[in-house]
Amino acid sequence: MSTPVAVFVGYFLVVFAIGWLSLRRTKDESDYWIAGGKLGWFTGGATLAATHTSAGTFVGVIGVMYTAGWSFGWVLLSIPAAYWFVAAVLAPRFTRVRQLTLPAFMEARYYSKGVRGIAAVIVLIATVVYIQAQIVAGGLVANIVFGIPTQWGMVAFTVILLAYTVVGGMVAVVYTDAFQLVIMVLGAVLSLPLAIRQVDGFASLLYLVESAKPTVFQWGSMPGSLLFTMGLAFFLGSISTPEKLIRLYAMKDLPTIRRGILFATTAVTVLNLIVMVLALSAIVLFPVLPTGDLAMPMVATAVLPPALGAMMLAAITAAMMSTVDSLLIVAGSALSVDLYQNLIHPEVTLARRMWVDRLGILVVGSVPVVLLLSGVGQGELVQFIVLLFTALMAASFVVPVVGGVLWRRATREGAASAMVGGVTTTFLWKAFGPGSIDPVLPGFLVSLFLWWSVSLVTPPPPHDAVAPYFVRDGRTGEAT
Amino acid sequence: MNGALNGPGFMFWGLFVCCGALLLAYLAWMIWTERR
Repeated sequence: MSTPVAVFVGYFLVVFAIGWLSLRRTKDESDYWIAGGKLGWFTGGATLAATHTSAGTFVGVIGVMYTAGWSFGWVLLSIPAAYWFVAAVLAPRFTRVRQLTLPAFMEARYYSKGVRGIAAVIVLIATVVYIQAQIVAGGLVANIVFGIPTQWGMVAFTVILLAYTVVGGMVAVVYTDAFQLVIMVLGAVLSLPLAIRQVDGFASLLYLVESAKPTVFQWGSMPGSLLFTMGLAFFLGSISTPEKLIRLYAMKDLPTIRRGILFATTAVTVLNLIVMVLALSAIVLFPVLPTGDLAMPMVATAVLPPALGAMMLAAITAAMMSTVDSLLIVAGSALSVDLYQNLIHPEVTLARRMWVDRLGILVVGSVPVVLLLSGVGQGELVQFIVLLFTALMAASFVVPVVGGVLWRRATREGAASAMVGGVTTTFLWKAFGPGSIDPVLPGFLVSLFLWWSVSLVTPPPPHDAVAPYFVRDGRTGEAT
Repeated sequence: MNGALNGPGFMFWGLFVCCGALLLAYLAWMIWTERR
């Protein structure tokens, strides 16, 4: 067995072992979807960081930086700023009533099963697109490590992911995420000095990268409007994506959330900075690549020694898997809890619920790979798909979620129009609008306007629906 | 934007400084919140 294959086999075995061990700790739906709401700051922060860090970081950020230059790196600042906002403003109000899913929060705050249904459908569609992007990256890694065709690699990654996610639910996801974060940090931290040595040190790196690509440290290399709106997309996306919000319910209390977020945001920032420096070394070492997405796989295979290269590729895989497993939880719960058990078949027995939950994950996990194998959704730069997903989530959920806990006059009609209008605008802008402005800006603005104006012209919300979020006596309820 | 803001002096090192400052500010806020 070659070194890279051995590294990967060992890595998968650990992930499987954690997945199976988690089965014992999954006794009811609350365990399955939010790990019982008992996570501490380390596990909670680690799963948040691992979920945030996707193939978009290890392949996509390098790809965009390789193509567009260092100015893209400044977008990173929006991430710690967003998490701070979550810890200080959103979490204290959002977690007063603990729910199992984001659409369940929407039903509770907006007193409407219809609003919950719309939220669940948006989560489902956007998640499938995002999972596709991650699986494409996984297929590329499998092709490099095992020499198998990319398509088989995509299938294999999906099977591995589904195996532990379906069995162990959120508990399995949380503990595999913590392990995968360790792999990511190790891969990045160990690779950095070797990549820098290849270009004769840090000072030399900055000089060489400017010689190879004079525009790399110039602000004009990307349009200012695009940089600003991408930063806005990252900011709003870090606040409102359901897989992150649900982790607020999974952590046990507010002090834990504050510490978990500090841990997560530090890990995410450091990982991103390391990856961006690796992108600079890729510009020097491989000045001509057909696509930026190849930059990181090239660093891993051609710059690093085999064991470390394999570690780096395992880190990319860990980034992908730890994001997709969390999205599977979110999409699976949207399908089985929010749509099936809530709207279609509410009388389903408790005993059958766990099976419906698992079936939901199985279904949503199979769709992206089937679409990819049919040729739908291939060919886009990974990071741009990540940005589209982020824009969709930001345009549909930021306003109803953040606004919902800050303005008690917001109504169900306002929330429904905000979600539908935000998503529609984002898609239309992506298809027909100018590329120099990320679709998140128009999507967010339309969502905000509709939410506010429709709320004002519709009857105010009932007191019972808004009271839990506008009293100051801490949590008032538990999972429903 | 151009001039002093271009080049690795500000663009490269400035980003590291800003990230560090933001994380430290969060830490300070967290400690302040919990002592309040």
